Amino acid sequence: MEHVTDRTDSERVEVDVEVDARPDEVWAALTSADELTAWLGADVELDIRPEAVGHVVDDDGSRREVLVTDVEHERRVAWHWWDDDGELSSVEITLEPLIHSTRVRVIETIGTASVPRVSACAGRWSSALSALAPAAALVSR
Amino acid sequence: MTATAVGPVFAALADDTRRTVLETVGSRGSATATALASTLPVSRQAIAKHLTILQAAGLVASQRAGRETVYQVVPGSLRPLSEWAAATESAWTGRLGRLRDHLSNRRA
Repeated sequence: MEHVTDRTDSERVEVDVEVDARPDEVWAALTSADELTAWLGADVELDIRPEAVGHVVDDDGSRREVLVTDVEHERRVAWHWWDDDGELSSVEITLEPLIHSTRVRVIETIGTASVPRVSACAGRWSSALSALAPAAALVSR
Repeated sequence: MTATAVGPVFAALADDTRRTVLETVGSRGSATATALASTLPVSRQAIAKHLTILQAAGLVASQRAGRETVYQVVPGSLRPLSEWAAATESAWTGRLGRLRDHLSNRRA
């Protein structure tokens, strides 16, 4: 496996990896609840479909609430997630088919661009997204 | 990482003009709002507001010099964001490593 960090700066992290699997196999690992637990976090409750909400708990116990924003079958998934402190960031995972493998690229950005969209969704799932309020206040200051 | 560590810094840097103001102060070593207004396409009043926000985030510090206020970049003030980037990059490197292992185990 080759890790390549193309561009990481203070507000944007980009990491990619080439895996020996077809895009459909990688997509299954990205979208199946059981398989997500194998790599994304210790406890993952996340349905990869647009506007779904869930959570990811890391090995160290830190928990993030997740709002899925975009899903393109076998190509791309994007979500916002935020922790208990209200830190909001956006994650985009893209799959690039190679000849005998797949490149998986992750870009995580701490940014304001997506906040209005999240805020709109928060109106629809106010209870599930109550944790978003401090994050929205934080980045709109 | 806590909200108090990164939030105000990020919020302060979310504005392009404010970033330019910060970069200009940093490249000059120190600057007044009047001096910045003479080089940037922004009014002195607007620059003063941006400097107030940058100062509230701990990115610049000020001191009086006669009738003017002189601003300087606070050394190391961007560290919380760079720590976020380092922790996030490390986390994704770990996750993608587990994804790679999971996929090869499934194929085996």
